[in-house]
Amino acid sequence: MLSINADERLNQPRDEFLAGVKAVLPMMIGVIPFGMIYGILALNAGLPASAAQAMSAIIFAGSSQFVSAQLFSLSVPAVINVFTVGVINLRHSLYSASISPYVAKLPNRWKWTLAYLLTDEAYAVTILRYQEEDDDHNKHWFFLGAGLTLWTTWQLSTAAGVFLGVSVPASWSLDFTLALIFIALTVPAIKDRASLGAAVSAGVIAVIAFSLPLKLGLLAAAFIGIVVGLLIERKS
Amino acid sequence: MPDLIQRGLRFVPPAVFTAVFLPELFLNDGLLNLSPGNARLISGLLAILVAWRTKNVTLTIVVGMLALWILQALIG
Repeated sequence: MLSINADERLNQPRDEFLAGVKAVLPMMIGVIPFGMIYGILALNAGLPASAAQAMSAIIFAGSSQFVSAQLFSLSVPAVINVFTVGVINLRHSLYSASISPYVAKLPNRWKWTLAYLLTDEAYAVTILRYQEEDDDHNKHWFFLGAGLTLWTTWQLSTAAGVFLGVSVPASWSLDFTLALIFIALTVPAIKDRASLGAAVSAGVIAVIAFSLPLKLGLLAAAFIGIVVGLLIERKS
Repeated sequence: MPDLIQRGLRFVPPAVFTAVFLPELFLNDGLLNLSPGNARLISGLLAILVAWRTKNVTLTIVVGMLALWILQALIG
């Protein structure tokens, strides 16, 4: 009797939501300074405060917002600016394809919400949760908890930069926390020789092709990594 | 969805995440820097070790940042 109750409690949307919140909390140490730096940079690029903040709500993607603000300061045509932002974020279509089998049966209002909230960090913790072998049907609440926490933090930290001018000195090197977050996210994603091969080959290509424009080196690295993973898997 | 694509999608997290962070360690201002004086490379390798052994996100960030600050203080 007790164990049944425990199982039911585990499947509550609220517990999944809170687990999602908890999963991304350590990442706030990287997200908050990044948001503040964006806020200052956007103002320096000549964006009005309202537009700088609206960009956080509409685009909701750190590196794209940096680039978009810089292109704005260079008076690059709006069409090119929008196109650039789209290409820089192409990796999100890989995330979205990878997570789609798990959310396929959700109602559209859920899909639209989760698609909007999809970021590197939200994807990373959520895909791990989905890959856990339990038949919990409320894992989309985990996704929502992680996504909303990142969204709220991003809006508040960019607002701190935009409206209060709060920032952190570059000498603190807090930008490095983003690389550290990705390191922490990569390790649990490496489960066997094939995924290790995918990671190493993608990493090497990303270093070699880093100078390609629009983060296309990242995209090339991802595709080569996936192919290498498939080849290793086929051999064994 | 075709079977091959479905199996390939399993490699999205390791491939994309590694492609995001590895250049941050190996490249300084776009140039390959493999010297022990590359504080980000040494701190990053230490963080990979911590992440692998503990699987703890907070500890990985804390150790990585402390290592970076100490190395920067020693080098700079």
